[in-house]
Amino acid sequence: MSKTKALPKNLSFEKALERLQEVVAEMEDPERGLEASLELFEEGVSLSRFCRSRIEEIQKRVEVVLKETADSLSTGPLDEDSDDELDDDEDAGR
Amino acid sequence: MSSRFPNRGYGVRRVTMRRVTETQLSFGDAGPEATAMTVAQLVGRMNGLLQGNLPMVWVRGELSGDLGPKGAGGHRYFSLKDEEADAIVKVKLFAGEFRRIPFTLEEGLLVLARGCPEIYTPRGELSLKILELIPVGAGALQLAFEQLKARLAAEGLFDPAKKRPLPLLPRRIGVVTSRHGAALRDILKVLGARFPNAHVTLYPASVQGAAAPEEICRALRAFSRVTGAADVVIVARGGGSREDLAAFNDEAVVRAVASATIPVICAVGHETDVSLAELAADVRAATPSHAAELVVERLDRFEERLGRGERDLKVSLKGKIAGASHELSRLVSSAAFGGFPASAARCGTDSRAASAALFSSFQRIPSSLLSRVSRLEQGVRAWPDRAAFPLLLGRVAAERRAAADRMAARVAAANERLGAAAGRLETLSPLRVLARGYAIVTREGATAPVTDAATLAAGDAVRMRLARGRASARVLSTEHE
Repeated sequence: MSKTKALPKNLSFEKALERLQEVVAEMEDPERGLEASLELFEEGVSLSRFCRSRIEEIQKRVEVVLKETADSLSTGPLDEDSDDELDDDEDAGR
Repeated sequence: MSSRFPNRGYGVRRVTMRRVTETQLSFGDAGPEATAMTVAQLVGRMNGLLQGNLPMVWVRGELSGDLGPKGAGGHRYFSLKDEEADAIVKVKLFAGEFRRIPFTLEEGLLVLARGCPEIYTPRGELSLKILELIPVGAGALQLAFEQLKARLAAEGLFDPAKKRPLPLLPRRIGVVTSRHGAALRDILKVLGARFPNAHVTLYPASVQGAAAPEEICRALRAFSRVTGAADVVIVARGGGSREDLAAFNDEAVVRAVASATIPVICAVGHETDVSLAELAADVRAATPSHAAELVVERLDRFEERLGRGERDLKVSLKGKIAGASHELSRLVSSAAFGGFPASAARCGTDSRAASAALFSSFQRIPSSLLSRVSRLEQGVRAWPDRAAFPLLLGRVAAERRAAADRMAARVAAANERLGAAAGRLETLSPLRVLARGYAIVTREGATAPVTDAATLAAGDAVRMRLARGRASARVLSTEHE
């Protein structure tokens, strides 16, 4: 038995969250023994930790594509203060 | 009429003119003075003729001239030009009528105009007063739209079964829209409120005009092709007239949306018409703001779900440990075992061996295991909030695991052995037999029971073990069988 619960590779955030809810439900099953519950508990904590890390690794950024190559997009920060040059092309033409 | 002309100085000329006209045109007795109309009458008559013969016409022509509003009233005066022949008619479009026209006026646009031809009396100018204006292409456009829609539908581009679910947590959100449009501003505003850490990548594209389809396609292809560039993409623009939305009905754009490798949310702010791109998208949003709401769950909802999950796990585990601990204590202190050693020790060798085996394994459990369990429980109780949760878990995991493994295994083994041994003890126990009125007889000082009368002689001393208590006796006589 491994000490830390290994999560499946390529686990998606969706699956992790879904599994976490399953784990919670399974643990609430009174038939589930202590041994199995400990397994579940560790899995649940690993899942929760995984989800949190996935949320935390998203970094606030607003960028604009400047150039594209075959396999990458080069971006720069989008100046959000440029509202003054808003030309609202979709409102033109009336 | 003559009174209006001064006689002096003009007499001769007047007479001459009069004679010429009389002889050449033969006006008869009444004369032109009597029959001539005033200008106002003429214009009035002409307007009457127009109203009688052309009360309302549809005219086909191209918009020409300055299409903008004139003056404070905002009315428009321009011309309709024949597509081929050299012919032109002035038109006037009042502000009230203009407001009802659902498309943008453009120089050269071929239209069908419904209106009344009339002469504007103060200027003597014929013009068409327009009541309705429709672009000639509209019918054809509508037909083309319906045909394209049917063709793409037949290909399955709008198939609901092909719609992909949006990622719950998009690491990167791609946006395809005008760099300076209101759509982008709205999306960023909503995302900032819902998920402040959102990572947004804008691929700027015109969303109207001739270049729009190609630019939108390029952006969608880029987000599809470049792995990791985005997990989901929003294609958006604000509201506009039907013509403004043409890019979203462009076949290439619709195909690019349908074939994107990542889910696409299409938000075209237009209430009445659904564009084909929206039909092909995985999710259709009413407005760009709505798209931003759909693209990611609120950050605090994620926090809530995870926090609840962790709390529930902790509560459940505490419960399990408390339950196991209680069960263990109950087993160890139960009357069956608590009072057993004393009597069992006096039983036969089989039962003694069984119980010895049982207790040797069983009695070790409480000291080592119960202390572990209680340590464990304290650990659980002392868990701080989830900040240190994973860290703590790591430290206590080994301890907890080892203790739990042993405890669970031992409880199970003990239970099994307990059951078996207890069963055996029950059947082997001589006490059970004695309780029915039998006695165990041994020679004085011996332990083996006497089972054959032939081994006894009159006068031998024997010991009797009864269900309760013992007695000493002497043999009076024996009978052999």
